[in-house]
Amino acid sequence: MDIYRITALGLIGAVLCVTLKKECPQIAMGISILTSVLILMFILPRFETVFDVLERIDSMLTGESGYVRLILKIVAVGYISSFGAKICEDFGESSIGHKIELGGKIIIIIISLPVITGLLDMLGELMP
Amino acid sequence: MDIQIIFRIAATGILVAVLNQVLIRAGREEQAMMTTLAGLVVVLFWLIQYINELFTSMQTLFNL
Repeated sequence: MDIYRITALGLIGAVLCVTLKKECPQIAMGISILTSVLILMFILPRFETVFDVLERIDSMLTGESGYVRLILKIVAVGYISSFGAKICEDFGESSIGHKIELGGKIIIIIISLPVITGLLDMLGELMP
Repeated sequence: MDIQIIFRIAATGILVAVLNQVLIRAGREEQAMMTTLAGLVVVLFWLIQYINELFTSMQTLFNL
């Protein structure tokens, strides 16, 4: 099963990171970044099946299409911003982590603007 | 799932730490600082490749 591989990699990375934390904190940070990168790279191909189902749902929807693509973009932005923010907070740089999260939130708002305007237009049409 | 890269980076880290101690004991603090920076540059170089690979695969997958 894949979960064993992920947990094993995470534990090995954590142990190596702790051993190096005292003498050489920079390289310990490198190890923790690399472990999370490897786990993410292992997980990403698994997303393929989720996307196929989402695409099928999107094609079934008769109305305004492209919302599923928007959702996927928001999910991706959320993943990457939390990836970076958590690593920064892990090594004590919580202010930098918060800035990354803030940037992620603003990008998500910018991405979802068309949906909001579309909703308002629809409401405008419904109102007599 | 290549775990060798993690062990390689850990080995560099341990090597840098040991070299650091040896050089400090020998009274050459500047060289100790230099070896730490050198080790860091090597590790960052490997790291950049993997981060780049992650972001490009995410780009194609989520077709951002």
